[in-house]
Amino acid sequence: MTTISDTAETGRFLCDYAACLLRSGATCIRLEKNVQRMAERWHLNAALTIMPRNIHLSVCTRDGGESTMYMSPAGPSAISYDIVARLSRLSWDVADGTVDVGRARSILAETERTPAAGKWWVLLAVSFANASFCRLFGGDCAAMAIVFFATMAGYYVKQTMLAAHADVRIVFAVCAFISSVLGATGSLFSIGSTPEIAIATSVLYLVPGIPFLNAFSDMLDRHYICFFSRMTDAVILTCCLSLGLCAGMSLMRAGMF
Amino acid sequence: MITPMTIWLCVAGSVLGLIALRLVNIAAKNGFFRHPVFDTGTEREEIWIPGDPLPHETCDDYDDDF
Repeated sequence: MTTISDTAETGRFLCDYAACLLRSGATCIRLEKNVQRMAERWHLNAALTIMPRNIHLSVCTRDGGESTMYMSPAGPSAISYDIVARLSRLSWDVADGTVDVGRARSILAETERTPAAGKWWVLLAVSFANASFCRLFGGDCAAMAIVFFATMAGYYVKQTMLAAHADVRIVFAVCAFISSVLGATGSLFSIGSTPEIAIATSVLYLVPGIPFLNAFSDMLDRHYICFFSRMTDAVILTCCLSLGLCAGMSLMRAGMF
Repeated sequence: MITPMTIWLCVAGSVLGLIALRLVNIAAKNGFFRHPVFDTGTEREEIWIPGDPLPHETCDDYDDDF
């Protein structure tokens, strides 16, 4: 028998859980599936309304009891697939009956406190990844080395500016400018045979891939509000990236300028 | 006149300056500057002979450590 206080506690947990998932970069279909999976286990009917910045959840018992509405703000987005994976695992544990509401609540709180990946490791990994992209696009070793350092400088500035709570759009434009100017080292000092590939690939780390992918996933799942929100965010960031890249290329008199 | 070389030098210099500034900040936070490289030591340190107890170590006045 599910009491009213049980339902309230469970509803509040499900709403906070969904908000945490949304904040961590999960797609709408994942939010719905995970929440439904847990609600079914607890013999509840849950209806989820996913807004770009809020989660609305309506919960009622299966015997047609009173319906209660909950709302949780998603807060600023901080994409972390580690958190998404942990929360998905939690939903399966709940569905298997190995975790009750109280324990699930403490696991959620613990998961929310998951520290971000080490910034130095991320800096190094992103730099290597972008240098690899340069190679994939046909760049030579000199271009790869230039892209590595251009990415490292740009990403370091990005980390520093984001830590200082600078506007993310300005951060993208500034970082694209820095990386494109440093990426033009090859053409400026006549290093290597593919300097134009170094410039073009030096800003690839800024392409907002996850928001684009999530937007398309939401579109396929007919969550059009989230689709438009995420797509608009991604397009604006891409425009800022292009602005910085164009400024860098025109000042360095490289490529199409 | 602004040339590509000037722009490149400005950007590279700014990034290096930022990195240097951050390193100095990190060093300051970790107390690096609390221990100066050159300093006037105390009289005890000046005539310190290897084997003597260090100034911060506790020593008993009567040397009767049984």
